Amino acid sequence: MPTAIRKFWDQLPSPTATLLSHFGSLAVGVLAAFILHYVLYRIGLPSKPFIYVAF
Amino acid sequence: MIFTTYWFFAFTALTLAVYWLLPVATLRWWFLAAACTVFHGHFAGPAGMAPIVVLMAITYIAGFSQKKWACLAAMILCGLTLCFYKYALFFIGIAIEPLSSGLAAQLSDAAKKIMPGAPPLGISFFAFEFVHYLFEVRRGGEPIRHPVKFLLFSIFFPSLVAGPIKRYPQFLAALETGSRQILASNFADGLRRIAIGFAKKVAIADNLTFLIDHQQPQFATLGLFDRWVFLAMLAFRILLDFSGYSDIAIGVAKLFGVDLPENFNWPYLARNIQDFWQRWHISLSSWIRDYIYIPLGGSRHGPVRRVTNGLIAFGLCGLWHGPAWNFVIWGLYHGVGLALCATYDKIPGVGPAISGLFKKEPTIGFVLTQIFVWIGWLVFFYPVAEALKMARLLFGL
Amino acid sequence: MSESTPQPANSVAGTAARPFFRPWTLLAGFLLGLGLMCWAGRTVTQRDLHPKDVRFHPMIAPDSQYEPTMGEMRAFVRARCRPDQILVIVGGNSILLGVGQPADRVWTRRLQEVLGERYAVVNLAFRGSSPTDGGAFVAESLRDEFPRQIYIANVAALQAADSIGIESYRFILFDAYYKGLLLPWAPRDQQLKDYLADPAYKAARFERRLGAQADAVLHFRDFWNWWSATKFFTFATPYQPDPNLAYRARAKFKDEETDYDTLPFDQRFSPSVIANDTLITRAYSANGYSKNAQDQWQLADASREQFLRYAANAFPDQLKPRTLILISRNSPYYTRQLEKDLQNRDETAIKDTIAGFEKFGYAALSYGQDFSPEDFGDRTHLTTAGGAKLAETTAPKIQALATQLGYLK
Repeated sequence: MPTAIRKFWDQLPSPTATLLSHFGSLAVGVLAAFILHYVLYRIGLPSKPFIYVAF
Repeated sequence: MIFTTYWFFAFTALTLAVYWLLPVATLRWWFLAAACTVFHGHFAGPAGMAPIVVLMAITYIAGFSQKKWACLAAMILCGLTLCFYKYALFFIGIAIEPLSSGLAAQLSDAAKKIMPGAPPLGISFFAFEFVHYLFEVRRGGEPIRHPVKFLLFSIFFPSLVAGPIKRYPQFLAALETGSRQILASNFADGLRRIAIGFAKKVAIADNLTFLIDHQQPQFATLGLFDRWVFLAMLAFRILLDFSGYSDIAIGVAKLFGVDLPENFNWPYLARNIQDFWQRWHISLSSWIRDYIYIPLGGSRHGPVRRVTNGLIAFGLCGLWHGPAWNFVIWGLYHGVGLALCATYDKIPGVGPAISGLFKKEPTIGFVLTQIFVWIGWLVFFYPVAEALKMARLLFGL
Repeated sequence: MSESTPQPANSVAGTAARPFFRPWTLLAGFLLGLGLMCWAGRTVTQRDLHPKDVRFHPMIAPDSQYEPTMGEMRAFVRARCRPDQILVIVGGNSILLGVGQPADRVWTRRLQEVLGERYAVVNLAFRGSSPTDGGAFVAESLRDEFPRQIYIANVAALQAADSIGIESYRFILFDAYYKGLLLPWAPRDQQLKDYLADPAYKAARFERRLGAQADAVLHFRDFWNWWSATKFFTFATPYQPDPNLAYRARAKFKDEETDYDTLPFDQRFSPSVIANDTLITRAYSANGYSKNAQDQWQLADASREQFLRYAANAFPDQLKPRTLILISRNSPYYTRQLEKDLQNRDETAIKDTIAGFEKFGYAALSYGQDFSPEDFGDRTHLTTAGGAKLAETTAPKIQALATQLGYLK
């Protein structure tokens, strides 16, 4: 985590930080579900996602 | 392809559920080993499994014996197996074809009869992991005695197909610690990482591929700015695709409580080529360093040997990516870059001045590094002649 | 399960003293997100994604990597048919899709005009589709919601179809089947089982089945089709006409099917295709026919049995009476050049096809015997005028069928 952001985070009052972290975690969880939902759609289509890696 | 199948999702979900429902770590290892075998069998088929099963057995026995000659012999066998499956036709083409095309054709036909349609799944990775294991045991490291743990090290499904290349002490430690306790953070971190990987891969890299494929034939007609945009797309496509794949592998492993080594660390923030190779495909570059560069002598025998060793190491690194000359040239290109990076400050007259400039204005070093790396991708992706032409066009020549 | 281990100091996820991510909250967010996406997928199928369209033109069809879902097509029907109307779903291939007719003059519009307000005509034909694909599954899935329905599809003479359709549109079968929208029908169920068990393709088909089963729960295809149609298309492929419009929402594309009326008649039958199409026309009824002792064309027993088997299995028995099969003919530009004997053979084949379908309770009708060459834009596809004639030929049969089925009480 960049130093400036780390400092800002450490200096936040505890209740604010707790609220932010819960809200942020919830949002990231929802976003992860959104992405995986999309991936499930995408891999079922005839035009498969590009895969370069093939060693 | 493997990560983007429903089978993979269903397999991972089912395996994860059973894994964590088992009451003790030992049972979990046994189950995971069985699951990894099923995984490998599903995607590789019996013919594809044969090389890894044979090499696994030989490597295990050689390591278990702790005999130096056995470890060396097994290492050579792993190398030869990799060369055969991946490079036989290439070597026939470069070594035999110029001398006798008839003999080359016969040898190619014979090789194709023995080889499966495609190289065995993950051969580039498990061959390197076995060589690492044997090298370390040969120089005194503790072998893996538990066959199930060894099997897990060999065919751990998240990293089987495209890395990261594991180191066995770290892997075992991570497995032993991570499998003992269910932690919410493992699930959370794993899911987050998987989502990041898929977002990079499916949402961004995939679309960049379309743009690249669409624009490449018209490269010569693009404006100068658009050509550099194309180069940037090429550079970010490979980064996002490959790092995305690593993210997914690391994320899936994390769901099982296992930490895999990081493979990318913001490589396009590198300030010089050395820094780049400490951030790009870290598991491969460190393997090349530890098992090719350093055994060749590294930098211990003067600048000429240092440069030579670096060129050999990076030529092989390039070749590892695929049996074609453009990969070798790409590797050598980076070898030259590394050699320059290590020695430029010693060039009489200008060396110290350039070094001073980079210290004063690090941005210049950063920009030059990225230009060097990004142009290198041209020869990685395109035939050499085409890549050179595109490189010239980037500078309006 | 415990919360977490302390984060390393340089983690992007916070600091050792104060982690940013809360594992349980993140997991809860993930489950919430997944639930929301499933719910959204189910909800969006209640709206018509293509209100301005009269058919699934190439930019909202698999031709351009857009695979309409069953939910989407059912919503398309619901938006065009009131509960008090008799639903007429037009399936089949590009001929009934109306290739060669622009959207404002497509033959199904004319059919609607002729049939009147008591009927609602919905075009669910797809290029290259078989009679048992696409629209057939949609019609079947709406059998309870729209019990007064007629399904129309087209075949060539003695052409029948697999009950599971063709590979290009198998995604529709899987969508319908694994969402439980289809009737149990033993021949189709067995054929699907055999299809999945084919050793040459087992892995790929198992993969497809897994996807359909996952979609039945998670509704990702419904949601992301809605997104692709109304917000933006999420990926670029070579299979679309203009790369600059790769990400444009599909609902914004107009129906720009070919208009054969803009092509002068003498340019429609170009020399380069005439030779090939002539061969195809000559072979229209070649399969299985030979002259008997009375010098009449007769279908070989094996061919007859094969055709009848397909006809018997193509649709569930309950749905056969409401299914109208149109037998397509080739353009008179080609058929008039045939020898009388071959023309007789074609007529025999058409009669046999009609008889074969009617034997199992289908309705069947051939069209085009009185069409002129100007009614065709090529060997098989109709111009606006030809489409209008098709509508006028088909409408009385539909009305008769509706009467017969008791829809008009």
